[in-house]
Formats: sequence, structure tokens, C-alpha cells
Amino acid sequence: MISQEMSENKQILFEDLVGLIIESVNLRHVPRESFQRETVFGATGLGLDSVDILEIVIAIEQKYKLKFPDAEMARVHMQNLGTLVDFIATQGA
Amino acid sequence: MSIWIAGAGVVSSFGLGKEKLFQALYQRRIGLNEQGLGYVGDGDRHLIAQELKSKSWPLQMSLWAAREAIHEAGWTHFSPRDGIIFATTTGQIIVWEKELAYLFQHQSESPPFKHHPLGTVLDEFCVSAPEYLGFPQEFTGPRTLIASACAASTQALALASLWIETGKVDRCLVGGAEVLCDLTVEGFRSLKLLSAQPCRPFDQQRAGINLSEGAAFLCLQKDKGSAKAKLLGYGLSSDAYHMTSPHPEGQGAYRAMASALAKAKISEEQIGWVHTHGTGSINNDLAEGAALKYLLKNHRPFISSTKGSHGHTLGISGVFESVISYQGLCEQTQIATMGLQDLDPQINLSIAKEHAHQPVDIILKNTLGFGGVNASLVLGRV
Amino acid sequence: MEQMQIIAAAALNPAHVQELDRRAEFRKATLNMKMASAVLSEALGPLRQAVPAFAEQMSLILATGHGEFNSTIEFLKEWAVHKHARPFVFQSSLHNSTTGFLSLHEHITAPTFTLSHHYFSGEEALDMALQLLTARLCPVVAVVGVDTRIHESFSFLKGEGFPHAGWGQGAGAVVLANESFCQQHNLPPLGSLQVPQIDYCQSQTFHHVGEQFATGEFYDSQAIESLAQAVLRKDSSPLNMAKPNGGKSQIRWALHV
Repeated sequence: MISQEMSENKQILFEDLVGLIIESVNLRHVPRESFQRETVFGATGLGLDSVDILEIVIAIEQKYKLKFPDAEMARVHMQNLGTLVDFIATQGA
Repeated sequence: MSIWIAGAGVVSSFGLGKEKLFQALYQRRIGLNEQGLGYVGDGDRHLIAQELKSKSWPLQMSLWAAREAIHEAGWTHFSPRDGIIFATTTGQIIVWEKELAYLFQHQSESPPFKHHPLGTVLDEFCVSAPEYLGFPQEFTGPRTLIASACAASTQALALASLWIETGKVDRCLVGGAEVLCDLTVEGFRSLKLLSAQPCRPFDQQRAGINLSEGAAFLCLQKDKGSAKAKLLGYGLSSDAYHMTSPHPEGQGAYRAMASALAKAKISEEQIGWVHTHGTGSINNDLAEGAALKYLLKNHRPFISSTKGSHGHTLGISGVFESVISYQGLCEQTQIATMGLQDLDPQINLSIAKEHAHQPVDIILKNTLGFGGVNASLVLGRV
Repeated sequence: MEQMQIIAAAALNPAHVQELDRRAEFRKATLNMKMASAVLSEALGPLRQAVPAFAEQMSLILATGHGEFNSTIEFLKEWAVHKHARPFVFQSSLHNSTTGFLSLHEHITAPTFTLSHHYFSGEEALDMALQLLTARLCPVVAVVGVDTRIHESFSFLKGEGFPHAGWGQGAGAVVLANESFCQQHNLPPLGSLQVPQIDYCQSQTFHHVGEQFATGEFYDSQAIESLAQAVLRKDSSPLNMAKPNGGKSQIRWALHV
């Protein structure tokens, strides 16, 4: 029951995060179904570059009032959309 | 046709004048503060400001550096056959920043805007320079302002060379000023490119770049006069790769260097010193390193970056560092790479850690800028 | 100086800019970038097919008075108010960003320049193109002039010290080539261009703005679009332009018959 609730919360967070990403780096032209837990940020996924990633990091830090410990950890947490949501969830967002 | 360099002038974090800058580099001093930023010292700032009270800071620095260059060149007037080419990326933005910040924070309804971002500094320079330099005539010759990011002033030197080659002018004053401001400092910081420590070009422990302010000018002319150096060639290219990163294999940088050598009719074996762009960012180091390796093949000239001492002066770095190259040619001294201890194994070149006093006739000077602009110069001893 | 041929010209078509908004590769583009892309792309259209590896041979000079100043203001505002430095906005805020974007988008690997000198930016860019061609630094040069009106939300900037805020915006492109390039690729020139004449009216750097500029559609780099329009309507009478600081310019070109 608890895990179900978590997963619903995470789903809401996921949707929220996708909206934030679309807004912050202007991905309005990308079909909504392209944003899945497994979707990666780079060339084989959303096609974003390092500056896009920095922009997303800042948008996330601002919105969810959290801080990525450093650039290396940001890379680890941003393997794909799923790992990013998991990270934000653990930060109590 | 030869383009002669008759004079050079500079304002840097080491003080007023090219001797101070060159001496500081030779003594391996660092002109950067604890945040890794290179500001002109308070004493020098005060000195210039006293002379030029009502002018903006970039204009004050510009006038001072131009005067040093023109005095060395022995120019005593401006004629309609003289040109001025200015280069900058920030120009007057520092004035804007203060006013905008005030406005945003105070919701003021009547902002005291009096300034225009880039072109104003050139216009003010053209009006102020004759008076400041003690030339009676108004300046009426051709003028323009190049704003091509960090390659701006190198392009300005190339354009001045063109103006002389095509007969548009007989002499051209080329240079500009760069100021440290929130836009550049916080902007570069947001791209995670800044280091609080002095930068370490080509070192495996590199942690980013340093920004600095200053002004620099060179006097180019078609007649030899008392010139001590020549601008033998220039090469320009674009990467068409990324907005803020160079092509990883340095293809654009290579084309700029190769065409500069071709224009100068110089082969790579004749290069005595490669004064690199060498910012200390990993992207720059790897791209420029790869391009140089491809260009130089087995030739091993003196290769260095001087940014570990004076930082990156952005749009004016081309002229600023050409002043160092010029001084190096005059004194037959090559300045080593400050901050380099352990060469990045991916850089397959021999980069100088110690100064040298070899006879050097030819210097290759590089600049690489945002927007994928590359520009190289070939400077020669007279 | 060798005769320089005008081989293509384009003036701004706002519908073309709107169309770019829908394309993925323009997601990061500012309005300045989109307007500049629209005119350059239109001017280059037929040339891309007519000349192999056209973009590799073509140099680009971008003339702009304000550059990406809207992005600069946005960056500084975020910083002044929230202490947030936005990498995305910074990347777009430099004067050379427009040129960088065009070079990327059109795969231009020849030299690219940003020229920014107030009301004379357009004329000086044309002059520079003629210099590049005369010195044979490249056989063909695209000159793009673009300026964006300062963003509506900054309209409070309009006033005595900053008359530009309510002014016009626009873009234009003219492609110039030397004669041998035209012959080699069998390109019929539309006309030939002479060196622009400029009177800087140096005594006034800024800015006793004449009434005719207060409500008009004037923008800093407008000379390029004015020339493009004249070429498109085959009107080769001299283009005389008055500038807000009292300066003047004249561009002369001859229709190719």
C-alpha cells in the first residue's frame, strides 16, 4: 500500500519534471510519449547537449530547492529520466 | 605586401604598459585575485581615472593603451588615410549592468540610461582619442567595431591588414577593451568553465579558465618606419560545430593556422614560438592540441600559453597576447606556460614549462572563440 | 577595386520566421537568430543547388547594432533579482551568438564575423565584404543585417537616453561574389555594388534623435535590408540614408543588364 502511494507520488513528480524540462530547454516539439523513465538526455534520447543539461540542473535546483552535490554526481543522477526522478524523490521533493 | 607593427600598448592586471606585463610574465607572477579573476589594480585604476575623469572605464583603459602604442609608433596626427578598428565583447556593458541592477531591484520608473552597449565605446574613442593623444585634427577616417567573441580582436587585426593591403588606409590603430562584469563572470561560471585557481593550460589537473580585464592596441602601417615587427599573415575559419565548444579534433583551428601560414608564405618548420589560445578549459586544450599536432607534424617549436599568469581577456585576447608576442620578438624571449606541471597525456606535444631565449623569427598566435570562430596570426621579427 | 556582383538578396518575411518556430533545430534560437536565418536561408536557396559545397566557400558577415541584447537583459535581470545565472541565456546573449548560430545552421566553415557599430553596422559590413572579396580571402560573402526590437517588457527603457526601445526591427541578406566565381558557376549577377559612402557626423556620438526616427521603423543594421529590397524591385537609384545622430550614408549599385 505504501509502495503504491510512493509510486503514484513519483508518477506525479515524473510528470512535473517532464514539464519542467520541456519548459527549461524548450522541447515543445518533442512528442509527449518520448519522455519515458528510460529516456536518456543525450544524442540517443532527447538529443540535448552539455549546456542544456546545465540549464536543466539549475531549473531543478531552483524548483525543488535542492542541490546536486557536484558535476560528477549530477551526471550519475542524470543517466535517464528515471534515475533523475528517483534522485529528486530522495531529496524529499 | 608587408604590414608593419610600429607600436604596442596595453593595460593589464599587472599595470600600465607592455614592459610591466612582459616583466611580470617573465618573473612568473600571477595577476589574478583569490577568485581567479584579473582586475586592473586600484592604484593603476586611480591613476588612469584621475587623467580621464568623465570617461567610462573601458574607454579610459582604451585611451591609455592606445596612447602607449601610438607614442611608440611615433604617430603625431590622424589623417583621413588612417583607420581605427575596435574589438570587444563586453564594451560598455558594465555601465548597463549597474543601471539595470538598480532598476530591477528598485522598480525605478525613470532609469538614468545614457549608454548604448557596444558601438558607443568606439564612437567615444574616435571623439576622445585625438584630444587625449594631443592630435589637433578630428578623426575622420574609416572605423568599425568587431564583436566576434574571443576571436574579435584577432579578426580586427586581420581586417586592418586587409584595409592596408587593399589601399583603404595607410595606417590602422587596432585594439579594444574588455571589462569584467556580471554578464561574463556569472555567465562563464554558469557554464562551469571558471576556475578560482590560476588556470593550468594543457595540464591534466586543469580546472577551468580565468577571466581578466584590460585594453590593448597595436599600430599597423604600410610603411616600415621604425617598426620592429611584421604581421605576416592571418587565417580565419569557423567550426560550424557547437555554440560554445570547439570542434573536438580542432578542425577549424587547424584551418585557421594553415591558412595563416599560407598567407604569410611560411612553412610550419619556420615557426619558432606557438603562442596558443590555451585557456585551460578541457575542450579548448584538446581541440587546439590536436590541431597543432596535425599542423606541426614532427617540428617541435616552443609552444606555450600565457593565460596562467594574466587570464583570458576574451574579445581583446588576440591583440593583448599579440602585444606579448611582439615584446617576445623584440626581446627574443619566449614565455613559458604558467601552471603546467603534468602534461595531459592526450596532448601529444611538447609544451614549454620554462622560458627560453632562442632566436625566434616567427610566432604563430591563435585565438578560438564562442560561436566556433577561429583566428590565427603569423608575426615576424624585422 | 574589382566589380563586386550581387548574386542574391532577401528581405524579411515575418511568416517565414513563424514557420521556423515550429522546427526542432530552432528550439534554442532567439528572435534575432530566427530572423537572420530566415533571410539568409531565403537568399541562399537556389545557390545551394547551383554551386557544389557552397557554404564551405562562403564567408558570413553579420551586422547588428543590438546583437542579442534581449538575452543579455534577461540574463542580467535573472541575476540581479534572483541571483540565478542561466547558462542557456548566457550562451545566447553574446553578440557573436547570432553568427555562431547561422554558421552552425548553414554549415559555414569559412570565416564568419560579427560587426556592431550603431547605425552604420550595415554599411560597414558591406564595405568589409568588398574588402574580403577584393583581397580574395573568399570568393563569395553573405552579408546579413539583423536587429530585434528591445523586448516589450523593457519598453520602460524608452526615453531620452534610450530611444531604441520603441524602434523597428528587421533583417535582410545580400550575397556578394567576385566576377570569376559568377563565371565559373554560371551565376547571373543581379547587379554590382560600389563601396558605401559614410559620413559619421562624428561630433555627435549619441543621440539627438530626429523626429522622423521616433516613431519610424528604423533599426541599426537596416542598410542591408534596404539594399536587398532595392535589388529585389530592381530599383538602382542611390540609397541615401539619414542616421539618428545626424550622420548619413549612400549606397550605390548598378542593375546588371
